[in-house]
Amino acid sequence: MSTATHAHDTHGHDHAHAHDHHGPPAGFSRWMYTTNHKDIGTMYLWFSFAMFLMGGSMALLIRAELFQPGLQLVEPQFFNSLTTVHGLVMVFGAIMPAFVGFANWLVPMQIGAADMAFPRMNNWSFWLLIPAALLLVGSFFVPGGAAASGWTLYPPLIIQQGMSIDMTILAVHILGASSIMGSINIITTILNLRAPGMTLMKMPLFVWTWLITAYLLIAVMPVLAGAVTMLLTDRHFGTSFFNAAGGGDPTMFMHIFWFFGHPEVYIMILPAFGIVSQIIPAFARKPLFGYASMVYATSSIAILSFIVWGHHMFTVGMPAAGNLFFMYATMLIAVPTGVKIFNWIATMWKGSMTFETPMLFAVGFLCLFTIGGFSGLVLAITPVDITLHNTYYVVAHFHYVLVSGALFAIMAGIYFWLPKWTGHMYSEGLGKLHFWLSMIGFNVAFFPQHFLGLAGMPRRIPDYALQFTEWNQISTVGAFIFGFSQLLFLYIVISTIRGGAKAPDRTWEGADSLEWTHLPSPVPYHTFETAPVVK
Amino acid sequence: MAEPHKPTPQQRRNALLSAAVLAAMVLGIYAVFMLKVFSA
Ligand code: HEM
Ligand SMILES: [Cu+2]
Repeated sequence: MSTATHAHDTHGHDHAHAHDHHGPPAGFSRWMYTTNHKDIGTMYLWFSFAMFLMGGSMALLIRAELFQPGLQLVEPQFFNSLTTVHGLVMVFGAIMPAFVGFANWLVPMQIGAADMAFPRMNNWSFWLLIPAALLLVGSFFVPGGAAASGWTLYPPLIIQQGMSIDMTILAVHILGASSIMGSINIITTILNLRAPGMTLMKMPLFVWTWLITAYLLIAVMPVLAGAVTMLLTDRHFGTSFFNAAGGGDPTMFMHIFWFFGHPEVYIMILPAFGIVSQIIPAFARKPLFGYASMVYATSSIAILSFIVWGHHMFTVGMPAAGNLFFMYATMLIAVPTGVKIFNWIATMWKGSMTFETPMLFAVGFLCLFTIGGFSGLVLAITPVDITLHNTYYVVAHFHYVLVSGALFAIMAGIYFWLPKWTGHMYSEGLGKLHFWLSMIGFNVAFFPQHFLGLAGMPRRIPDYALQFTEWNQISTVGAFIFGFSQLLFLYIVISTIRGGAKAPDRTWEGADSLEWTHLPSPVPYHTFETAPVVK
Repeated sequence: MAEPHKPTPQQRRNALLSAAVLAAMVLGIYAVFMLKVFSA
Protein backbone atom coordinates (compact mmCIF):
# COMPACT_ATOMS: atom_id res chain seq x y z
CA MET A 1 0.00 0.00 0.00
CA SER A 2 1.63 3.23 -1.09
CA THR A 3 0.84 5.43 1.80
CA ALA A 4 2.00 8.92 2.46
CA THR A 5 4.10 9.36 5.56
CA HIS A 6 2.51 7.68 8.51
CA ALA A 7 2.75 9.37 11.88
CA HIS A 8 4.38 6.27 13.27
CA ASP A 9 7.39 6.69 11.03
CA THR A 10 8.03 10.26 11.93
CA HIS A 11 7.46 10.44 15.63
CA GLY A 12 10.17 11.75 17.88
CA HIS A 13 11.25 9.06 20.32
CA ASP A 14 13.09 6.75 18.00
CA HIS A 15 14.19 3.95 20.27
CA ALA A 16 16.21 1.19 18.77
CA HIS A 17 13.35 -1.23 19.13
CA ALA A 18 10.56 1.01 17.96
CA HIS A 19 10.66 -0.29 14.43
CA ASP A 20 10.98 -3.96 15.10
CA HIS A 21 7.81 -5.10 13.50
CA HIS A 22 8.35 -8.76 14.17
CA GLY A 23 7.18 -8.58 17.70
CA PRO A 24 6.92 -6.47 20.78
CA PRO A 25 9.95 -5.09 22.61
CA ALA A 26 10.58 -6.76 25.92
CA GLY A 27 10.13 -5.51 29.46
CA PHE A 28 8.28 -2.68 31.06
CA SER A 29 8.75 -0.19 28.23
CA ARG A 30 6.73 -2.47 25.99
CA TRP A 31 3.70 -1.80 28.15
CA MET A 32 4.51 1.79 29.00
CA TYR A 33 4.87 3.00 25.42
CA THR A 34 2.81 0.47 23.57
CA THR A 35 0.44 1.66 20.89
CA ASN A 36 -0.64 -1.85 19.95
CA HIS A 37 -4.35 -2.41 20.40
CA LYS A 38 -3.79 -5.94 21.67
CA ASP A 39 -1.30 -4.87 24.34
CA ILE A 40 -3.59 -2.06 25.40
CA GLY A 41 -6.57 -4.42 25.48
CA THR A 42 -4.61 -6.80 27.67
CA MET A 43 -3.68 -4.01 30.06
CA TYR A 44 -7.30 -2.87 30.31
CA LEU A 45 -8.40 -6.39 31.12
CA TRP A 46 -5.77 -6.92 33.81
CA PHE A 47 -6.49 -3.51 35.29
CA SER A 48 -10.14 -4.38 35.37
CA PHE A 49 -9.43 -7.67 37.10
CA ALA A 50 -7.26 -6.00 39.72
CA MET A 51 -10.04 -3.50 40.43
CA PHE A 52 -12.54 -6.35 40.51
CA LEU A 53 -10.54 -8.01 43.28
CA MET A 54 -10.20 -4.70 45.09
CA GLY A 55 -13.92 -3.90 44.88
CA GLY A 56 -14.66 -7.52 45.68
CA SER A 57 -12.68 -7.41 48.91
CA MET A 58 -14.70 -4.37 49.95
CA ALA A 59 -17.91 -6.26 49.15
CA LEU A 60 -16.82 -9.20 51.27
CA LEU A 61 -16.07 -6.88 54.16
CA ILE A 62 -19.54 -5.39 53.78
CA ARG A 63 -21.11 -8.86 53.71
CA ALA A 64 -19.04 -9.98 56.71
CA GLU A 65 -20.34 -7.03 58.72
CA LEU A 66 -23.89 -7.83 57.64
CA PHE A 67 -23.59 -11.48 58.64
CA GLN A 68 -25.13 -10.54 61.97
CA PRO A 69 -27.19 -7.62 63.22
CA GLY A 70 -25.30 -5.20 65.42
CA LEU A 71 -21.85 -3.78 64.77
CA GLN A 72 -19.06 -6.33 64.61
CA LEU A 73 -16.21 -5.49 62.32
CA VAL A 74 -16.29 -1.91 61.03
CA GLU A 75 -17.32 1.55 62.13
CA PRO A 76 -20.54 2.86 60.49
CA GLN A 77 -18.68 5.68 58.75
CA PHE A 78 -16.16 3.24 57.30
CA PHE A 79 -19.00 0.96 56.26
CA ASN A 80 -20.48 3.80 54.24
CA SER A 81 -17.10 4.43 52.64
CA LEU A 82 -16.94 0.75 51.74
CA THR A 83 -20.29 0.76 49.94
CA THR A 84 -19.39 4.00 48.15
CA VAL A 85 -15.95 3.01 46.94
CA HIS A 86 -17.11 -0.52 46.15
CA GLY A 87 -19.69 0.96 43.77
CA LEU A 88 -17.30 3.46 42.19
CA VAL A 89 -14.51 0.90 41.77
CA MET A 90 -16.80 -1.72 40.25
CA VAL A 91 -18.56 0.68 37.85
CA PHE A 92 -15.62 2.79 36.72
CA GLY A 93 -12.72 0.47 37.49
CA ALA A 94 -13.96 -3.03 36.77
CA ILE A 95 -16.93 -3.20 34.39
CA MET A 96 -16.25 -0.26 32.07
CA PRO A 97 -12.51 -0.92 31.56
CA ALA A 98 -13.20 -4.61 30.96
CA PHE A 99 -15.44 -3.74 28.03
CA VAL A 100 -12.91 -1.23 26.71
CA GLY A 101 -10.36 -4.05 26.90
CA PHE A 102 -12.60 -6.22 24.76
CA ALA A 103 -13.14 -3.34 22.35
CA ASN A 104 -9.41 -2.86 21.96
CA TRP A 105 -8.76 -6.49 21.28
CA LEU A 106 -11.73 -7.15 19.06
CA VAL A 107 -12.91 -4.07 17.20
CA PRO A 108 -9.86 -3.79 14.87
CA MET A 109 -9.78 -7.54 14.25
CA GLN A 110 -13.50 -7.83 13.64
CA ILE A 111 -13.62 -5.01 11.11
CA GLY A 112 -10.33 -5.96 9.44
CA ALA A 113 -8.28 -2.96 10.56
CA ALA A 114 -4.62 -3.09 11.55
CA ASP A 115 -5.09 -1.13 14.77
CA MET A 116 -7.19 1.61 16.33
CA ALA A 117 -7.36 4.94 14.53
CA PHE A 118 -5.34 6.80 17.16
CA PRO A 119 -2.93 4.34 18.78
CA ARG A 120 -1.08 6.86 20.92
CA MET A 121 -4.28 8.37 22.30
CA ASN A 122 -5.22 4.78 23.06
CA ASN A 123 -2.11 4.45 25.21
CA TRP A 124 -3.12 7.61 27.07
CA SER A 125 -6.66 6.42 27.66
CA PHE A 126 -5.29 3.42 29.45
CA TRP A 127 -2.56 5.03 31.51
CA LEU A 128 -4.94 7.70 32.83
CA LEU A 129 -6.75 4.92 34.66
CA ILE A 130 -3.83 4.34 37.01
CA PRO A 131 -3.77 7.75 38.74
CA ALA A 132 -7.57 7.70 38.91
CA ALA A 133 -7.53 4.32 40.64
CA LEU A 134 -4.83 5.48 43.03
CA LEU A 135 -6.88 8.55 43.92
CA LEU A 136 -10.00 6.50 44.56
CA VAL A 137 -8.36 3.84 46.65
CA GLY A 138 -5.92 6.27 48.29
CA SER A 139 -8.84 8.35 49.54
CA PHE A 140 -9.35 5.74 52.26
CA PHE A 141 -6.16 6.95 53.89
CA VAL A 142 -6.78 10.68 54.17
CA PRO A 143 -8.30 12.37 57.23
CA GLY A 144 -12.05 11.78 57.35
CA GLY A 145 -11.86 8.61 55.29
CA ALA A 146 -13.07 7.84 51.79
CA ALA A 147 -16.27 9.24 50.30
CA ALA A 148 -19.27 7.93 52.23
CA SER A 149 -22.04 9.42 50.11
CA GLY A 150 -22.81 6.34 48.06
CA TRP A 151 -21.52 5.98 44.48
CA THR A 152 -24.19 8.49 43.38
CA LEU A 153 -22.26 11.28 45.18
CA TYR A 154 -25.40 12.98 46.45
CA PRO A 155 -25.21 16.31 48.23
CA PRO A 156 -25.49 17.51 50.95
CA LEU A 157 -23.22 14.81 52.41
CA ILE A 158 -20.72 15.06 49.59
CA ILE A 159 -20.34 18.79 50.18
CA GLN A 160 -19.65 18.34 53.87
CA GLN A 161 -17.04 15.57 53.83
CA GLY A 162 -13.25 16.04 53.79
CA MET A 163 -10.56 16.01 51.15
CA SER A 164 -11.33 12.47 50.00
CA ILE A 165 -14.20 14.02 48.07
CA ASP A 166 -11.82 16.23 46.14
CA MET A 167 -9.77 13.16 45.30
CA THR A 168 -12.92 11.36 44.19
CA ILE A 169 -13.97 14.31 42.04
CA LEU A 170 -10.55 14.43 40.40
CA ALA A 171 -10.67 10.67 39.86
CA VAL A 172 -14.07 10.95 38.18
CA HIS A 173 -12.77 13.72 35.92
CA ILE A 174 -9.77 11.64 34.88
CA LEU A 175 -11.85 8.53 34.31
CA GLY A 176 -14.23 10.60 32.22
CA ALA A 177 -11.38 11.93 30.09
CA SER A 178 -10.13 8.39 29.59
CA SER A 179 -13.58 7.15 28.57
CA ILE A 180 -14.08 10.04 26.18
CA MET A 181 -10.76 9.48 24.44
CA GLY A 182 -11.48 5.77 24.28
CA SER A 183 -14.89 6.42 22.75
CA ILE A 184 -13.56 8.84 20.15
CA ASN A 185 -11.02 6.20 19.18
CA ILE A 186 -13.60 3.45 18.93
CA ILE A 187 -16.06 5.49 16.87
CA THR A 188 -13.45 6.80 14.44
CA THR A 189 -11.99 3.34 14.02
CA ILE A 190 -15.34 1.76 13.28
CA LEU A 191 -16.48 4.52 10.95
CA ASN A 192 -13.26 4.90 8.97
CA LEU A 193 -11.03 1.84 9.11
CA ARG A 194 -13.29 -0.98 8.05
CA ALA A 195 -11.87 -3.42 5.50
CA PRO A 196 -13.20 -3.23 1.95
CA GLY A 197 -16.62 -4.85 1.82
CA MET A 198 -17.23 -4.60 5.57
CA THR A 199 -20.38 -2.55 5.39
CA LEU A 200 -21.98 -1.35 8.60
CA MET A 201 -24.69 -3.97 8.41
CA LYS A 202 -22.10 -6.73 8.06
CA MET A 203 -20.28 -5.80 11.26
CA PRO A 204 -20.38 -8.33 14.08
CA LEU A 205 -22.84 -7.34 16.76
CA PHE A 206 -20.11 -6.70 19.29
CA VAL A 207 -18.82 -3.89 17.07
CA TRP A 208 -22.31 -2.47 16.67
CA THR A 209 -23.05 -2.45 20.36
CA TRP A 210 -19.73 -0.72 21.07
CA LEU A 211 -20.36 1.89 18.37
CA ILE A 212 -23.63 2.78 20.08
CA THR A 213 -22.11 2.60 23.56
CA ALA A 214 -19.34 4.97 22.53
CA TYR A 215 -21.91 7.53 21.38
CA LEU A 216 -23.65 7.22 24.75
CA LEU A 217 -20.35 7.87 26.47
CA ILE A 218 -19.65 10.92 24.31
CA ALA A 219 -23.06 12.29 25.22
CA VAL A 220 -23.12 11.71 28.96
CA MET A 221 -19.53 11.84 30.19
CA PRO A 222 -19.42 15.63 29.79
CA VAL A 223 -22.61 15.82 31.85
CA LEU A 224 -21.03 13.84 34.68
CA ALA A 225 -17.97 16.06 34.43
CA GLY A 226 -20.24 19.09 34.72
CA ALA A 227 -22.02 17.67 37.75
CA VAL A 228 -18.81 17.02 39.64
CA THR A 229 -17.43 20.41 38.60
CA MET A 230 -20.48 21.96 40.25
CA LEU A 231 -19.84 19.87 43.37
CA LEU A 232 -16.30 21.16 43.42
CA THR A 233 -17.33 24.81 43.18
CA ASP A 234 -19.98 24.24 45.84
CA ARG A 235 -17.28 22.88 48.08
CA HIS A 236 -14.55 25.39 47.48
CA PHE A 237 -15.60 28.37 45.38
CA GLY A 238 -18.67 29.73 47.11
CA THR A 239 -21.41 28.57 44.76
CA SER A 240 -24.60 27.00 46.15
CA PHE A 241 -25.94 24.93 43.30
CA PHE A 242 -26.90 22.05 45.55
CA ASN A 243 -26.69 23.63 48.97
CA ALA A 244 -30.11 24.46 50.37
CA ALA A 245 -28.59 26.80 52.95
CA GLY A 246 -27.37 29.01 50.12
CA GLY A 247 -30.58 28.77 48.09
CA GLY A 248 -29.52 25.73 46.08
CA ASP A 249 -31.35 22.50 45.44
CA PRO A 250 -29.94 19.04 46.21
CA THR A 251 -32.50 17.38 43.97
CA MET A 252 -31.04 19.23 41.00
CA PHE A 253 -27.91 17.17 41.50
CA MET A 254 -30.01 14.01 41.34
CA HIS A 255 -31.51 15.08 38.02
CA ILE A 256 -28.10 15.82 36.53
CA PHE A 257 -26.50 12.73 37.99
CA TRP A 258 -29.19 10.38 36.70
CA PHE A 259 -29.29 12.04 33.32
CA PHE A 260 -25.77 10.66 33.16
CA GLY A 261 -26.46 7.64 35.36
CA HIS A 262 -29.16 5.86 33.46
CA PRO A 263 -27.36 5.95 30.10
CA GLU A 264 -24.34 4.84 32.12
CA VAL A 265 -26.07 1.63 33.16
CA TYR A 266 -26.67 0.91 29.47
CA ILE A 267 -23.04 1.72 28.77
CA MET A 268 -22.34 -1.19 31.08
CA ILE A 269 -24.80 -3.57 29.44
CA LEU A 270 -24.82 -2.90 25.68
CA PRO A 271 -21.30 -4.32 25.11
CA ALA A 272 -22.43 -7.32 27.17
CA PHE A 273 -25.31 -7.75 24.72
CA GLY A 274 -22.72 -7.63 21.95
CA ILE A 275 -20.57 -10.36 23.49
CA VAL A 276 -23.55 -12.61 24.10
CA SER A 277 -24.72 -12.03 20.53
CA GLN A 278 -21.39 -13.41 19.29
CA ILE A 279 -21.33 -16.40 21.61
CA ILE A 280 -24.86 -17.77 21.37
CA PRO A 281 -24.81 -18.21 17.55
CA ALA A 282 -21.37 -19.85 17.77
CA PHE A 283 -22.56 -22.54 20.15
CA ALA A 284 -25.99 -22.93 18.58
CA ARG A 285 -24.22 -23.30 15.20
CA LYS A 286 -26.79 -21.03 13.61
CA PRO A 287 -26.56 -17.42 12.47
CA LEU A 288 -27.88 -14.84 14.90
CA PHE A 289 -31.64 -14.61 14.58
CA GLY A 290 -32.82 -11.12 13.62
CA TYR A 291 -29.45 -9.38 13.10
CA ALA A 292 -30.99 -6.14 11.86
CA SER A 293 -33.58 -6.07 14.61
CA MET A 294 -30.72 -6.47 17.10
CA VAL A 295 -29.08 -3.35 15.72
CA TYR A 296 -32.31 -1.38 15.83
CA ALA A 297 -33.21 -2.65 19.30
CA THR A 298 -29.79 -1.63 20.60
CA SER A 299 -30.22 1.84 19.13
CA SER A 300 -33.71 2.20 20.58
CA ILE A 301 -32.49 1.20 24.01
CA ALA A 302 -29.73 3.79 23.74
CA ILE A 303 -32.12 6.56 22.71
CA LEU A 304 -34.74 5.68 25.31
CA SER A 305 -32.06 5.59 28.01
CA PHE A 306 -31.98 9.40 27.88
CA ILE A 307 -35.59 9.89 28.92
CA VAL A 308 -36.02 7.55 31.87
CA TRP A 309 -33.69 8.99 34.51
CA GLY A 310 -36.58 10.06 36.75
CA HIS A 311 -37.23 6.44 37.76
CA HIS A 312 -34.38 6.87 40.23
CA MET A 313 -36.19 9.75 41.89
CA PHE A 314 -39.82 8.73 42.32
CA THR A 315 -39.61 9.62 46.00
CA VAL A 316 -38.25 13.16 45.73
CA GLY A 317 -41.61 14.77 45.03
CA MET A 318 -41.77 15.25 41.28
CA PRO A 319 -45.20 16.25 39.91
CA ALA A 320 -47.49 13.28 39.25
CA ALA A 321 -47.21 13.92 35.50
CA GLY A 322 -43.43 13.61 35.80
CA ASN A 323 -43.65 10.37 37.72
CA LEU A 324 -46.08 8.96 35.18
CA PHE A 325 -43.94 10.02 32.26
CA PHE A 326 -40.86 8.34 33.71
CA MET A 327 -42.83 5.25 34.64
CA TYR A 328 -44.16 4.69 31.12
CA ALA A 329 -40.93 5.67 29.40
CA THR A 330 -39.06 3.18 31.56
CA MET A 331 -41.49 0.41 30.76
CA LEU A 332 -41.05 1.16 27.08
CA ILE A 333 -37.42 0.02 27.32
CA ALA A 334 -38.68 -3.45 28.08
CA VAL A 335 -39.87 -3.67 24.46
CA PRO A 336 -36.49 -3.51 22.65
CA THR A 337 -34.96 -5.49 25.51
CA GLY A 338 -37.60 -8.16 24.96
CA VAL A 339 -36.76 -8.18 21.24
CA LYS A 340 -33.17 -9.03 22.12
CA ILE A 341 -34.07 -11.78 24.55
CA PHE A 342 -36.45 -13.20 21.96
CA ASN A 343 -33.74 -13.15 19.29
CA TRP A 344 -31.22 -14.94 21.49
CA ILE A 345 -33.72 -17.65 22.31
CA ALA A 346 -34.77 -17.94 18.68
CA THR A 347 -31.08 -18.31 17.74
CA MET A 348 -30.84 -21.30 20.06
CA TRP A 349 -34.13 -22.77 18.84
CA LYS A 350 -33.40 -26.02 16.98
CA GLY A 351 -29.69 -25.25 16.98
CA SER A 352 -27.15 -28.01 17.51
CA MET A 353 -26.11 -26.66 20.85
CA THR A 354 -23.15 -27.54 23.01
CA PHE A 355 -22.44 -26.05 26.39
CA GLU A 356 -18.78 -25.19 26.72
CA THR A 357 -17.91 -22.63 29.39
CA PRO A 358 -18.52 -19.50 27.25
CA MET A 359 -21.98 -20.78 26.34
CA LEU A 360 -22.73 -21.66 29.97
CA PHE A 361 -21.95 -18.12 31.00
CA ALA A 362 -23.96 -16.76 28.06
CA VAL A 363 -27.00 -18.86 28.95
CA GLY A 364 -26.52 -17.95 32.61
CA PHE A 365 -26.52 -14.33 31.49
CA LEU A 366 -29.73 -14.84 29.57
CA CYS A 367 -31.61 -16.36 32.50
CA LEU A 368 -30.34 -14.07 35.22
CA PHE A 369 -30.23 -10.80 33.30
CA THR A 370 -33.89 -11.38 32.50
CA ILE A 371 -34.64 -11.67 36.22
CA GLY A 372 -32.89 -8.33 36.69
CA GLY A 373 -34.91 -6.84 33.86
CA PHE A 374 -38.13 -7.97 35.49
CA SER A 375 -37.21 -6.61 38.91
CA GLY A 376 -36.41 -3.37 37.06
CA LEU A 377 -39.93 -3.36 35.68
CA VAL A 378 -41.29 -3.86 39.19
CA LEU A 379 -39.26 -0.87 40.36
CA ALA A 380 -40.43 1.18 37.40
CA ILE A 381 -43.99 1.13 38.75
CA THR A 382 -44.06 4.40 40.66
CA PRO A 383 -46.26 3.41 43.61
CA VAL A 384 -44.33 0.18 44.05
CA ASP A 385 -41.01 1.99 43.90
CA ILE A 386 -42.12 4.37 46.60
CA THR A 387 -42.06 1.47 49.03
CA LEU A 388 -39.05 -0.32 47.52
CA HIS A 389 -36.76 2.65 46.86
CA ASN A 390 -33.57 2.48 48.93
CA THR A 391 -34.28 -1.05 50.07
CA TYR A 392 -32.34 -4.22 49.34
CA TYR A 393 -34.75 -4.92 46.50
CA VAL A 394 -32.91 -2.26 44.49
CA VAL A 395 -29.59 -3.82 45.46
CA ALA A 396 -30.86 -7.19 44.23
CA HIS A 397 -32.06 -5.63 40.96
CA PHE A 398 -28.85 -3.97 40.01
CA HIS A 399 -26.68 -6.89 40.95
CA TYR A 400 -28.73 -9.14 38.72
CA VAL A 401 -28.20 -6.81 35.77
CA LEU A 402 -24.61 -5.91 36.57
CA VAL A 403 -23.08 -9.10 37.96
CA SER A 404 -25.08 -11.83 36.28
CA GLY A 405 -25.54 -9.43 33.37
CA ALA A 406 -22.44 -7.44 32.59
CA LEU A 407 -19.92 -9.53 34.55
CA PHE A 408 -21.18 -12.91 33.33
CA ALA A 409 -20.92 -11.63 29.77
CA ILE A 410 -17.35 -10.52 30.47
CA MET A 411 -16.52 -14.00 31.81
CA ALA A 412 -18.22 -15.60 28.81
CA GLY A 413 -16.17 -13.39 26.50
CA ILE A 414 -12.89 -14.17 28.24
CA TYR A 415 -13.42 -17.93 27.90
CA PHE A 416 -14.59 -17.46 24.32
CA TRP A 417 -11.63 -15.38 23.09
CA LEU A 418 -8.86 -16.60 25.40
CA PRO A 419 -7.90 -19.40 22.96
CA LYS A 420 -7.68 -16.82 20.16
CA TRP A 421 -5.62 -14.43 22.28
CA THR A 422 -3.23 -16.92 23.87
CA GLY A 423 -3.22 -19.79 21.39
CA HIS A 424 -4.04 -22.21 24.22
CA MET A 425 -7.22 -23.91 25.34
CA TYR A 426 -8.34 -23.27 28.86
CA SER A 427 -9.29 -26.24 31.02
CA GLU A 428 -12.91 -26.98 30.21
CA GLY A 429 -13.42 -28.88 33.45
CA LEU A 430 -12.17 -26.02 35.61
CA GLY A 431 -14.08 -23.49 33.49
CA LYS A 432 -17.32 -25.36 34.11
CA LEU A 433 -16.51 -25.59 37.81
CA HIS A 434 -15.93 -21.83 37.86
CA PHE A 435 -19.26 -21.30 36.13
CA TRP A 436 -21.26 -23.43 38.54
CA LEU A 437 -19.59 -22.00 41.63
CA SER A 438 -20.28 -18.48 40.34
CA MET A 439 -23.84 -19.31 39.38
CA ILE A 440 -24.66 -20.86 42.76
CA GLY A 441 -22.71 -18.34 44.82
CA PHE A 442 -24.26 -15.43 42.97
CA ASN A 443 -27.84 -16.58 43.36
CA VAL A 444 -27.39 -17.51 47.00
CA ALA A 445 -25.91 -14.08 47.62
CA PHE A 446 -28.41 -11.96 45.75
CA PHE A 447 -31.74 -13.73 45.41
CA PRO A 448 -32.49 -13.41 49.15
CA GLN A 449 -31.90 -9.67 48.86
CA HIS A 450 -35.23 -9.45 47.02
CA PHE A 451 -36.94 -10.87 50.12
CA LEU A 452 -35.04 -8.53 52.41
CA GLY A 453 -36.03 -5.55 50.31
CA LEU A 454 -39.67 -6.57 50.14
CA ALA A 455 -39.60 -6.94 53.92
CA GLY A 456 -38.29 -3.40 54.19
CA MET A 457 -34.57 -3.71 54.90
CA PRO A 458 -32.90 -0.43 53.86
CA ARG A 459 -29.70 -0.43 51.81
CA ARG A 460 -26.41 1.18 52.92
CA ILE A 461 -26.70 0.40 56.64
CA PRO A 462 -24.20 -1.56 58.77
CA ASP A 463 -26.83 -2.80 61.24
CA TYR A 464 -30.37 -4.12 60.85
CA ALA A 465 -33.42 -5.36 62.69
CA LEU A 466 -33.33 -8.93 64.01
CA GLN A 467 -35.94 -10.37 61.67
CA PHE A 468 -33.63 -9.83 58.69
CA THR A 469 -30.88 -12.04 60.11
CA GLU A 470 -31.40 -15.38 58.32
CA TRP A 471 -31.50 -14.09 54.75
CA ASN A 472 -28.51 -11.86 55.46
CA GLN A 473 -26.52 -14.84 56.71
CA ILE A 474 -27.40 -16.85 53.62
CA SER A 475 -26.51 -13.88 51.43
CA THR A 476 -23.11 -13.54 53.08
CA VAL A 477 -22.35 -17.23 52.59
CA GLY A 478 -23.23 -16.93 48.90
CA ALA A 479 -21.10 -13.82 48.54
CA PHE A 480 -18.05 -15.61 49.91
CA ILE A 481 -18.61 -18.59 47.59
CA PHE A 482 -18.91 -16.22 44.64
CA GLY A 483 -15.94 -14.10 45.68
CA PHE A 484 -13.50 -16.94 46.27
CA SER A 485 -14.47 -18.79 43.11
CA GLN A 486 -13.05 -15.84 41.19
CA LEU A 487 -9.60 -16.89 42.38
CA LEU A 488 -10.21 -20.10 40.46
CA PHE A 489 -10.90 -17.93 37.42
CA LEU A 490 -7.57 -16.17 37.95
CA TYR A 491 -5.84 -19.54 38.13
CA ILE A 492 -7.53 -20.75 34.94
CA VAL A 493 -6.56 -17.63 33.01
CA ILE A 494 -2.94 -17.68 34.16
CA SER A 495 -2.51 -21.36 33.37
CA THR A 496 -4.05 -20.83 29.93
CA ILE A 497 -1.60 -18.03 29.20
CA ARG A 498 1.29 -20.21 30.39
CA GLY A 499 0.40 -23.28 28.36
CA GLY A 500 -2.20 -25.88 27.54
CA ALA A 501 -3.45 -27.65 24.45
CA LYS A 502 -2.92 -25.75 21.22
CA ALA A 503 -6.06 -23.90 20.19
CA PRO A 504 -7.15 -24.30 16.57
CA ASP A 505 -7.38 -21.10 14.51
CA ARG A 506 -11.12 -21.46 14.37
CA THR A 507 -11.54 -22.60 17.93
CA TRP A 508 -15.31 -22.72 17.81
CA GLU A 509 -16.71 -24.17 14.62
CA GLY A 510 -19.76 -21.92 14.72
CA ALA A 511 -17.82 -18.66 15.12
CA ASP A 512 -17.62 -16.71 11.90
CA SER A 513 -16.22 -13.23 12.51
CA LEU A 514 -12.90 -12.25 10.94
CA GLU A 515 -10.71 -13.01 13.96
CA TRP A 516 -11.75 -16.67 13.69
CA THR A 517 -11.83 -17.05 9.92
CA HIS A 518 -8.86 -14.92 8.87
CA LEU A 519 -6.36 -14.97 11.75
CA PRO A 520 -4.30 -17.68 13.43
CA SER A 521 -4.39 -18.50 17.15
CA PRO A 522 -2.62 -16.89 18.87
CA VAL A 523 -3.12 -13.72 16.89
CA PRO A 524 0.24 -12.30 15.77
CA TYR A 525 1.36 -9.01 17.26
CA HIS A 526 0.45 -7.22 14.04
CA THR A 527 -2.59 -8.42 12.18
CA PHE A 528 -3.92 -7.85 8.71
CA GLU A 529 -0.74 -6.98 6.84
CA THR A 530 -3.09 -6.55 3.96
CA ALA A 531 -6.67 -5.63 4.56
CA PRO A 532 -8.95 -8.64 4.22
CA VAL A 533 -11.67 -8.35 1.63
CA VAL A 534 -15.11 -9.13 2.92
CA LYS A 535 -17.56 -10.58 0.44
CA MET B 1 6.23 -10.70 8.27
CA ALA B 2 6.10 -7.06 7.45
CA GLU B 3 4.49 -4.03 8.89
CA PRO B 4 0.75 -4.00 9.35
CA HIS B 5 -1.07 -2.25 6.58
CA LYS B 6 -1.56 1.38 7.28
CA PRO B 7 -4.66 3.43 6.85
CA THR B 8 -4.80 5.14 3.46
CA PRO B 9 -4.34 8.93 3.45
CA GLN B 10 -8.03 9.18 2.73
CA GLN B 11 -8.85 7.06 5.79
CA ARG B 12 -6.51 9.12 7.95
CA ARG B 13 -8.13 12.36 6.85
CA ASN B 14 -11.58 11.01 7.54
CA ALA B 15 -10.51 9.65 10.91
CA LEU B 16 -9.13 13.02 11.94
CA LEU B 17 -12.29 14.71 10.77
CA SER B 18 -14.52 12.30 12.72
CA ALA B 19 -12.39 12.74 15.81
CA ALA B 20 -12.59 16.52 15.51
CA VAL B 21 -16.37 16.42 15.23
CA LEU B 22 -16.66 14.10 18.24
CA ALA B 23 -14.28 16.19 20.32
CA ALA B 24 -16.32 19.26 19.43
CA MET B 25 -19.45 17.45 20.61
CA VAL B 26 -17.85 16.63 23.94
CA LEU B 27 -16.48 20.11 24.53
CA GLY B 28 -19.68 21.65 23.26
CA ILE B 29 -21.89 19.73 25.67
CA TYR B 30 -19.62 20.53 28.59
CA ALA B 31 -19.23 24.20 27.62
CA VAL B 32 -22.94 24.85 27.05
CA PHE B 33 -23.82 23.15 30.32
CA MET B 34 -21.20 25.05 32.31
CA LEU B 35 -21.97 28.40 30.69
CA LYS B 36 -25.63 27.88 31.45
CA VAL B 37 -25.17 27.14 35.14
CA PHE B 38 -22.33 29.55 35.83
CA SER B 39 -23.82 32.62 34.14
CA ALA B 40 -26.36 34.66 36.06
C1 HEM C 1 -35.66 -3.45 31.74
C2 HEM C 1 -34.68 -2.71 32.11
C3 HEM C 1 -34.56 -1.94 33.44
C4 HEM C 1 -35.51 -1.31 34.17
C5 HEM C 1 -36.97 -1.20 33.86
C6 HEM C 1 -34.83 -0.72 35.32
C7 HEM C 1 -35.44 0.03 36.32
C8 HEM C 1 -34.81 0.54 37.43
C9 HEM C 1 -35.42 1.39 38.42
C10 HEM C 1 -36.88 1.84 38.40
C11 HEM C 1 -34.47 1.69 39.35
C12 HEM C 1 -34.64 2.62 40.56
C13 HEM C 1 -34.94 1.87 41.80
C14 HEM C 1 -34.87 2.75 43.01
O1 HEM C 1 -33.82 3.36 43.28
O2 HEM C 1 -35.88 2.83 43.73
C15 HEM C 1 -33.27 1.05 38.96
C16 HEM C 1 -32.08 1.11 39.67
C17 HEM C 1 -30.88 0.67 39.16
N1 HEM C 1 -30.68 0.00 37.97
FE1 HEM C 1 -32.11 -0.61 36.70
N2 HEM C 1 -33.52 -1.03 35.27
C18 HEM C 1 -33.31 -1.77 34.13
C19 HEM C 1 -32.12 -2.26 33.68
C20 HEM C 1 -30.90 -2.00 34.26
C21 HEM C 1 -29.63 -2.35 33.70
C22 HEM C 1 -29.44 -3.05 32.35
C23 HEM C 1 -28.68 -1.93 34.56
C24 HEM C 1 -27.19 -2.03 34.49
C25 HEM C 1 -26.52 -2.79 33.72
C26 HEM C 1 -29.35 -1.34 35.69
C27 HEM C 1 -28.71 -0.80 36.79
C28 HEM C 1 -29.32 -0.18 37.83
C29 HEM C 1 -28.63 0.38 38.96
C30 HEM C 1 -27.10 0.40 39.17
C31 HEM C 1 -29.61 0.90 39.81
C32 HEM C 1 -29.41 1.50 41.19
C33 HEM C 1 -28.78 2.80 41.23
C34 HEM C 1 -28.61 3.25 42.66
O3 HEM C 1 -29.57 3.75 43.22
O4 HEM C 1 -27.50 3.08 43.19
N3 HEM C 1 -30.70 -1.40 35.48
N4 HEM C 1 -33.50 0.34 37.77
CU1 LIG D 1 -32.09 3.84 35.58
